Amino acid sequence: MENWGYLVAAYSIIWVAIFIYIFTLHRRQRQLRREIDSLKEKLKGN
Amino acid sequence: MQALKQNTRSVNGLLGLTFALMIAAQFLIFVYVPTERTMGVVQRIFYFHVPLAWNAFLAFAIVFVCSILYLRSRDMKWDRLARSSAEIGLLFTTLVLITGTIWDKPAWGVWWTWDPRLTATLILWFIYLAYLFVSAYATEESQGARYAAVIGIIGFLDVPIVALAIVLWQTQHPSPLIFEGGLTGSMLLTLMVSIVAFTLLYLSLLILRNSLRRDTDEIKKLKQYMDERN
Amino acid sequence: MRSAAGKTLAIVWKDITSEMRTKEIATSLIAFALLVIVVVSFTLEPGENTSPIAAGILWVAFTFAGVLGLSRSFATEKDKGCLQGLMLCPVDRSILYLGKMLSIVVFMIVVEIIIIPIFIVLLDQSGFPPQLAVIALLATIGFAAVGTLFSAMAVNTRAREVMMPLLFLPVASPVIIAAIKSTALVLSGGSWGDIASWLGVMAAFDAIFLAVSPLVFEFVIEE
Repeated sequence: MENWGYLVAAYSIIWVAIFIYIFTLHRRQRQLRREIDSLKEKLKGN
Repeated sequence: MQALKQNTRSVNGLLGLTFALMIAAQFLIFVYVPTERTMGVVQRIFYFHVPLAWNAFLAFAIVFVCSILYLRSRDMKWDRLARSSAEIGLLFTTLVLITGTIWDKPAWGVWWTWDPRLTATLILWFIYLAYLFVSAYATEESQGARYAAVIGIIGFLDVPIVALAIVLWQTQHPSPLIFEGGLTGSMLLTLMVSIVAFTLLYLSLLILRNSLRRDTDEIKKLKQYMDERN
Repeated sequence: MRSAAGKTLAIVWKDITSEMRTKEIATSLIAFALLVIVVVSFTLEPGENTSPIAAGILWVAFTFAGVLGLSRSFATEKDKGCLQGLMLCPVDRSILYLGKMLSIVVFMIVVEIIIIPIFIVLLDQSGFPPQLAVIALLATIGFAAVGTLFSAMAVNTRAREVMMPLLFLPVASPVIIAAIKSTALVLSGGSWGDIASWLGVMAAFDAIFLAVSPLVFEFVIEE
């Protein structure tokens, strides 16, 4: 089972990268959600 | 609001399907498929590398189609879809390069070779980069969209010629990198499932990224409207 | 009204005559190409100036000089406001493209005619292979075909100096590869048959982008 390390490295990099990407998208989505809510409040105020 | 709810349901369905198929693919890749004789365990990277490469290319094809549609209609929705696809395409292309490098080292003893696959992928990576840079460095939105669309079209048309040039280069200097033996039935099955799983992943990411872009644009418009009112 | 060919040539003539007055672009490009050849040659040990390496050096020099010349081509237009002047003319955008493209081809050919003999001497190649003229022509057309388009784009973006090579180099890479490989072959005595497929690659590139670039050019320079 030589070179096992390489396989693990490749595998990890793929999934870490994809999850970081999804997480970043999710975080921005949440920020947007907050902005929409605050804008709604402002509209109600006007 | 109704439309939003319906969309969320089908998106959730897609995400669920992606997840399920990805799990199935993992099982096939790590448990089901037998270890290849010559390269050993490392060869399993192949089942990630190829689907990622296929989707990198698919993403660019989508960029190409959306670019044409944008230039025709000037509807920003095509520009948004194109940019989202380009972003994911860049991500996948980066992963193709990284997995290719990691695979090459134990298999052939070198980190990098100028073989057709890797070199063409590297050039595709740069074309993606050019696309994203142009849309980022434009002086205003519509110009960025136009310019990016032009790169999307030119870049995509360029890809077959790049492939041609590089393959020609390699046939004149054959490298020792040949995939020995064919693909057995189990290998083919695993590869196919993995390709489908990664394609679904690409589509899921595309939809997520695109809706984020759309919402961002909506908010910008809303803010503008409110500023004008005040 | 002049014909399409007449209008195209008028644009080319305008560029050539304005260059003849100052000669600044041609001289700086020639000097630059020479400098690239010299500097890269610093890496060579005696006896290392084999055809593949020499061919590489030549085309690196031409590529960098080409990028420089292409960036200049629209930069001066934009800075002096000539671009708007040109666009006010009732000229089909593709004619504008063709004119700029041809004037770039002319400039680059002038540079190449001067550089190639000097290169053969500096890198001690065996002689001037006639095929090199065809290789250079096809490559130059390819460079100009996409370069004109990208130059017009880059000039309108921020970070314009770096945008041009960023766009150009990846897209033009098949031409660069083909030029280098075929030049290497002919410098070591290759025949037409040896370079036929490389010429084919460049011809295909030229054909595709000469067809497509004029079509998309209007999207680039519209205001």
